[in-house]
Amino acid sequence: MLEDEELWNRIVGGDARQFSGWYQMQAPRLKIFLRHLLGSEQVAEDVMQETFTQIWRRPVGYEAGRGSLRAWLYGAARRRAAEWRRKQKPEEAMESEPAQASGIERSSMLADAMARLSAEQRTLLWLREVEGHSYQELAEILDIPVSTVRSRLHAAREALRQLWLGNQKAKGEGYEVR
Amino acid sequence: MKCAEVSEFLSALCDGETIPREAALHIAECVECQQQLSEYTAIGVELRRMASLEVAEAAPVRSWGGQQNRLALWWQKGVATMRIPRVAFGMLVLCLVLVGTRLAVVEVGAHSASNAVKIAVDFGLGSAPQPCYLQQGNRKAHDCSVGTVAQNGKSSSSYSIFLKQFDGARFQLEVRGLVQRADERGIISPIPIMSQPAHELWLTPGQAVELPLANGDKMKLVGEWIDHTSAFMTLAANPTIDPNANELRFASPMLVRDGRVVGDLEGFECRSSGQQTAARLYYPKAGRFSFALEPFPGALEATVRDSRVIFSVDGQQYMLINGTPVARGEKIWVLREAKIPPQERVSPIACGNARSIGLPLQQ
Repeated sequence: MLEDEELWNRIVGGDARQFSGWYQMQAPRLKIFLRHLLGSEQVAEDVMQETFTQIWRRPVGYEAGRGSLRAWLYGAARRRAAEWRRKQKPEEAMESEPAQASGIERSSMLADAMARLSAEQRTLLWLREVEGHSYQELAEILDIPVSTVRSRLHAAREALRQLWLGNQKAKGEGYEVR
Repeated sequence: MKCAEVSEFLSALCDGETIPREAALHIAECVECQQQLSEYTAIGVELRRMASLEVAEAAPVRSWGGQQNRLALWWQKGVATMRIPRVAFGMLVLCLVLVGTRLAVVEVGAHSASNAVKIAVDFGLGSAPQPCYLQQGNRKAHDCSVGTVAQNGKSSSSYSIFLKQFDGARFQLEVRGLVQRADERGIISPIPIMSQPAHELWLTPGQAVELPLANGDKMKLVGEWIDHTSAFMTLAANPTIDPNANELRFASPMLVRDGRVVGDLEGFECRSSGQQTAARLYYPKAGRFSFALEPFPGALEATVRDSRVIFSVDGQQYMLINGTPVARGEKIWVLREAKIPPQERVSPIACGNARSIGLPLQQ
């Protein structure tokens, strides 16, 4: 497998085969991330495809010294998702988000709790806990200082914990620490 | 430390970070903080479990060939990797545009402000127009001579074109001309052309003007602005340093006899090429020297060394030091006439067909 910088140079050089391989490898998980971020399967698919299309057409902005190519991809996807959100009418966004979020993992209280977090908190938690990005990469993806990543991650965890615990109490279910 | 102060460090612990000693000591003794840490850890585990349940569908196959916009890519890459502030870059671009605009203005202005012109003189004989380079303030380019020789060699026409003045985008020329006929010996004696009447005409660059000639023909003149004239007008028509095979060139020729300068035609020059090419140089203290590329009655062989002509006449060594190479070959022929009639002292320098300058190459 090529190093990030070499792969990026190939993409910039118009190597369609390398880009296609990278797309096939990254797209599935990126789509899941976007689905949690946007709360819609279809929108996640659209944003994911737009992200790759944009990168292929204008492969600019990645600097090997600042982080991994994968982190940069997630950052690009997050920005495109935020752009999609801004284009939505406020009433549509308010209505669609909880309804679609509940469809992601209906059986999971955690999924419901996640859906109630802000987009940034969802992004932070998902990228940290699921995708395993470092603080440095999170800072790159979210365009925030590294020092801010820790405090925001804590705030996100605490918010999710409160929501999750609140759901458990409301539903009267037991909770077991694993 | 209080639990609230330690809370953020609990999150950091989940991320594999180290925390301050005080915070670590507090967590070791605080049941509530330990509970919170466990819940944070559980959240991470549950999130990963949830993600694991989701099916990662393979991405739809797409074709990625030939979609890249290379120009946009180049530009955006430049912007993205810019190392100077965008405002500074913007100012730089603006300055370049302004400078470029200014250069364009200067270039356009050069045409109207130029004091040098090139005139193509066409006698309608099927040959290429003869160029004439004129520049005000340049004593070597204040006028030029053009002319023709009849095919039978019995007559020639000579014209002197003088640049008089400019008026905006056009300029005024003064043209003097004469038609000369050969005498019974076939010689065309030179006549001072400045004694001929002058015709004045205005020329707008790019527009042809026709001037009727004394012999019934017409001279067509087309002018264009140039930024300067050559140092040697003899090089203007043939800008290569090497003369053509049948060409003679003289530019500021200085004559040295037995090691002493006896004449200097500084600023005078002439060039001629074609059949029976010849030249005549007149030095008041040394006489008239006629040169030709072929032998002619009374002429002696001279050696050409680039821009010098070396010959011996009447036991005296001569060296003509020229401003340009004189001829392509190593030999030319020279005739010295110590004294010439006053009426033939028309011009200190003349080039052209031998007949047209009064030099019979054959008896």
